[in-house]
Amino acid sequence: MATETEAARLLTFRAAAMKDANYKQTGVYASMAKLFASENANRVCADAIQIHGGNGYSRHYNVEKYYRDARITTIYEGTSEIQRIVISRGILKD
Amino acid sequence: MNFDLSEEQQMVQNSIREFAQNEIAPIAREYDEAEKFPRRQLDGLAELGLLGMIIPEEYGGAGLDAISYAVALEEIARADASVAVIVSVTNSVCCYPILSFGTEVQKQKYLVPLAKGEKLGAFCLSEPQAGSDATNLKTRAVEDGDFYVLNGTKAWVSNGAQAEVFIVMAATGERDGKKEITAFIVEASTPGFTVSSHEHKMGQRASQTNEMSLTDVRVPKANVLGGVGNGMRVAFGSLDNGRIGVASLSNGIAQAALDEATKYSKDRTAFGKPIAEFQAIQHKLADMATETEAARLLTFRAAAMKDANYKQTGVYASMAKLFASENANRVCADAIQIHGGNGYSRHYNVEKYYRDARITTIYEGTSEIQRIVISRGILKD
Repeated sequence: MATETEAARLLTFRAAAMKDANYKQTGVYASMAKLFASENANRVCADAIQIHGGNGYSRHYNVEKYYRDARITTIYEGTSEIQRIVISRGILKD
Repeated sequence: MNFDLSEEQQMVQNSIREFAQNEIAPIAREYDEAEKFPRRQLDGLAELGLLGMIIPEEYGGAGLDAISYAVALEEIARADASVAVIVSVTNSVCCYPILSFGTEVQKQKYLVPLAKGEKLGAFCLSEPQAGSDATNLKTRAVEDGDFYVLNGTKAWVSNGAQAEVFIVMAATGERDGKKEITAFIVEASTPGFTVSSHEHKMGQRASQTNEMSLTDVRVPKANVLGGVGNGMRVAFGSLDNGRIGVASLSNGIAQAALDEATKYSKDRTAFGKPIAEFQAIQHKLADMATETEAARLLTFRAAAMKDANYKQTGVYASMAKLFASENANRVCADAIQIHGGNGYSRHYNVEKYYRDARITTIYEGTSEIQRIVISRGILKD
């Protein structure tokens, strides 16, 4: 969970740095960041619930909310499937 | 935060990429099949200063920063992981410990020829019955006048049959019920120090891996490295470079597999069009590219922390090593999948990449050990 969240953060900062520098490939990197970070959020929240056991399923614990909040991230602002199309176009056009 | 390579780092990348693609990649398969030691390739890399690339120029090295080291190893591994692992071993677990813990005399005598690439280095820690639990080693060193006498067996020694300078870990006694471990610099020519077997491996086959025997090997006390009882400090001191090295090597294999899969998907047609036009293939390529980029960023992040002497470098080096090695295995498996039956054939490079990648989650600390290191970093806060 820690390793992949750090990787997601670095991809996001990398895309942001490219945006700041007006790089042409920013779009592909923004898609990589969005795809990886949103899929990671879903995995990490699922594991966080698993670590909480039954308590993780209860509204008394925050992870229950995080899990629900994460679920839309792979859908809005371009689904994961759309991000993959953007990224693969970037690779295949070279 | 700066994510772009410096001009100097880009120069390192370009010059090594050119050498590796022209001089190493075309003969990688031949050396793999024959388990042939890549002497010619290493001589070329020595001329570029890469056998002691993280060693300062005053000791014969290239004086490169850790990010350049990561970039260089990735480019070499992209051409042939066997060559990269030899370079990584001599740099990270032989040169670097001598630089960090050696006396001036030891540096002049051993480090300078190693860094110049005139001699090759190796590291002996693992034993047949002591891998991840390295402190459980059975090799013993007993004092005898101006010497220590070493007896034992060392396993999985990379560069074993070719190296001239070895760092050997041995127990010199017990303290508080625990073994007291000491590091020794041992020359290959020392009587009683022999190569006892050659491992026939699945991958990285041009890199020689040996079992070494020590029978009454007399090592001068002047060759104790880092002081008596400080062996594990010497070993742990090399972990960051070792793990950043294997992470970089894994990224090189992953990038090579991604490149081959991309090219193949454009050439291969099915149902009347290139398979690159099918979303099933596009989505695989996107995941492979995204996660390889994430692995590379984790590796560069750990290298940047190493250059800045950050206390948390160890945890980040473990994250990089864990993620990059697991990613290389996933990417190579998918590259074979994209190649279909051809990917299972020795005519295609992905078959070799898949085998080469398999060891990366095991050596220099298994994925399971990396997870322990990382979780300790989180849990102690």
